[in-house]
Amino acid sequence: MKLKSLLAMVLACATALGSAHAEKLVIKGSDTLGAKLVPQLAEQFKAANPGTTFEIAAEGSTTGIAAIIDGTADIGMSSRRAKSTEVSSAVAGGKNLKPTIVAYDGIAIIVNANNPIKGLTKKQVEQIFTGDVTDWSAVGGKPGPISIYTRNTSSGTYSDFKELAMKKRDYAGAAQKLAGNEQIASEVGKNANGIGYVGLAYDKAPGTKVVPIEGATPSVASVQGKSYPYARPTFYYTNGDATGIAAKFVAFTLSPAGQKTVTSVGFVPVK
Amino acid sequence: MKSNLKKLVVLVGMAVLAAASLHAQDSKALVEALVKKGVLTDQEAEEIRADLVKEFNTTSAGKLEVSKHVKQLKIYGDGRWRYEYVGQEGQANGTNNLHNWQARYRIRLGADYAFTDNFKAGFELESSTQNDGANQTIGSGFGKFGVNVGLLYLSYKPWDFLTVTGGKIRNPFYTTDVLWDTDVAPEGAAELFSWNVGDQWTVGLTAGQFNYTENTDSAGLTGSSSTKMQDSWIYAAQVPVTYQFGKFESVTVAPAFYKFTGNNASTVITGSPSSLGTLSAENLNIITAPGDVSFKVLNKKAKFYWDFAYNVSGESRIHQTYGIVNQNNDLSDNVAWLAGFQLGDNKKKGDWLVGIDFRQIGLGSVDPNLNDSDFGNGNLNQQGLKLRAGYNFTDFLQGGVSYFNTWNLKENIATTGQTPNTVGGLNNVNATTRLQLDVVWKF
Repeated sequence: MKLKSLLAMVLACATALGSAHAEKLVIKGSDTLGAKLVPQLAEQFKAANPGTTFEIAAEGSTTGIAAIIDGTADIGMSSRRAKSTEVSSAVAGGKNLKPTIVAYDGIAIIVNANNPIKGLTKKQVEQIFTGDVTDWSAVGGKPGPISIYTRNTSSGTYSDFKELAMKKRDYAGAAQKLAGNEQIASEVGKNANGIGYVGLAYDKAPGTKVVPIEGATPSVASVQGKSYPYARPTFYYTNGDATGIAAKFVAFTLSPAGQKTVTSVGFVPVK
Repeated sequence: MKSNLKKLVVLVGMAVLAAASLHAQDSKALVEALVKKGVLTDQEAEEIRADLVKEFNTTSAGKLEVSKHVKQLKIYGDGRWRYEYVGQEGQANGTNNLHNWQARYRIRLGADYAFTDNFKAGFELESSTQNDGANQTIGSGFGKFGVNVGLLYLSYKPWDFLTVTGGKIRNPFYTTDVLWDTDVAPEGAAELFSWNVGDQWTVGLTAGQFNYTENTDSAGLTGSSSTKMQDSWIYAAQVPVTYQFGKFESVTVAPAFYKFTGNNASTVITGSPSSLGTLSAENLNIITAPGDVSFKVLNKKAKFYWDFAYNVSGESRIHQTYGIVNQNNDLSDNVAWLAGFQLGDNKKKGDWLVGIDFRQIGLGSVDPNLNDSDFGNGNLNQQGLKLRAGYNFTDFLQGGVSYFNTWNLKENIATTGQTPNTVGGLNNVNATTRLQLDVVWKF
């Protein structure tokens, strides 16, 4: 009898453990997606799917795609497309990087709220971030050295901005690399000569203001209409078509409820 | 299903385009255009992009990863098999007579890189340590030969009119093989200025500083310990001027001055003639004026070309450096010259080329370590003919024949009061014959 009870307990534990493991979703990657949007989506998803647990690590798009390639995550968040070299690595490892657009993001150029600058051209943005121009007076501002704040190199925003705004040129040597959008907004808010870029979800930080680019400001309408120059899709990467709980979470993100959260956090919905 | 069909149709179309261009990644613009037209949704476009990149990465080109700093990479090379006859009539009563048929091969493999910020670099690997060639002679028990560095350079072009290059570089000077064997790659730096003056004139200024031999500064010469050995350098400047008076018609003249430095320092060169051993680079101050007149005849490119080299220090070169005390030095000993004609070229299938030139190489005129090693086996005091012909069987496969016939410019040098050939291989032949049959394939 004791033996039967013991076996039943062991089986119950094993089943419980197996069930708990199956309901855990590991998501890694982009800070742009992972700092606010995905945690909120995860909370809503958990409410509708009790027993599901999440492990979310937002350390940059590169880490998200790498996690799909090495099989350590179910979903890789990315604010950029997978590079050719990453696709090669995936193929070599028997993986298939599949992108799913979950939201759009405009990259807002922010300056200190006290900066008198009213707007910039695309050329001026390129000149500032590449270091061709180093003083605000050269772009119609108050004289003073320009302090540039960028994301760090593992960030998808870092490489996306080079492609969207800098003709793939290198950043100025004096540019300071920071870990996330919030840090950039914080530093720009404290530095009268600061300039940086953040995702739309972070463009209302205290002490900062958004600079129109050739008259266009990042908004839902300008991003969906593709009239704002620094806009991009953001992705979930999975190994082929998502399956199981990951597929459910992808579907939830694209559902009306998920896209409502996308909007409320400050991103632009897919539809 | 409808969406999948649409993607399939688009993918097939792109695959056709990609096959034509071999650049599936270039389909990005087309995908974006289809999105703008409303043919594809953003999501469908993303899946197509991902498929195209994946597809491209399964091709040979896609598997090759190049550093992102490299804007352009060109890998090139050639292989050559040569069957060659070498005949030599020695000066010392037949002591140095020889004749031989031999088979030789050469391989060269190189890469040119174009970096961002106007930098370029490159290297070339070759199958020989010789300074003036990459040939290896077969027949040493099936032995293998080493691979050596033939070029290694970095160049910077800050402005359109200036290129600065350093390292082991291609010869930057407009020249002929009277002075420079085409295989010699000098080591040092070169600065090349070039300006277009109007539509027809191009004027340049080329400067070179080459470290010819490296000597330990503290070491003394044998028998003269008080004399410090100096490094030997070649400093050179040239002003090439071209006048273009038609699409294929032009005249180029490129006067230059080469100064070799280094006092009594020995120059050890692994080149031809190999019997040179050690030889000083002193007393070489050479004025040259190579040039050509190019035009078209029989619907083929043609040119008359020439070179003229005069060593201002020729007399000292003969008497002091070579130690020939009884030579009555005159102008012809200090002068080397060449005059030739070439018709055709060898660039693509069906192309052919023929050429002939005559030259005289005075004993004190040029450096025998650097001139054409095939003409007179690299010896001085020779005059003679060089004939060549080539034909392209395909764009990459070429056959060629070269014939050299040389004889003494002056007779009986270094014979009175001296043992013949005491000046090494400078003048140890009376006549030479060389026939080369080549097959070359480029890759």
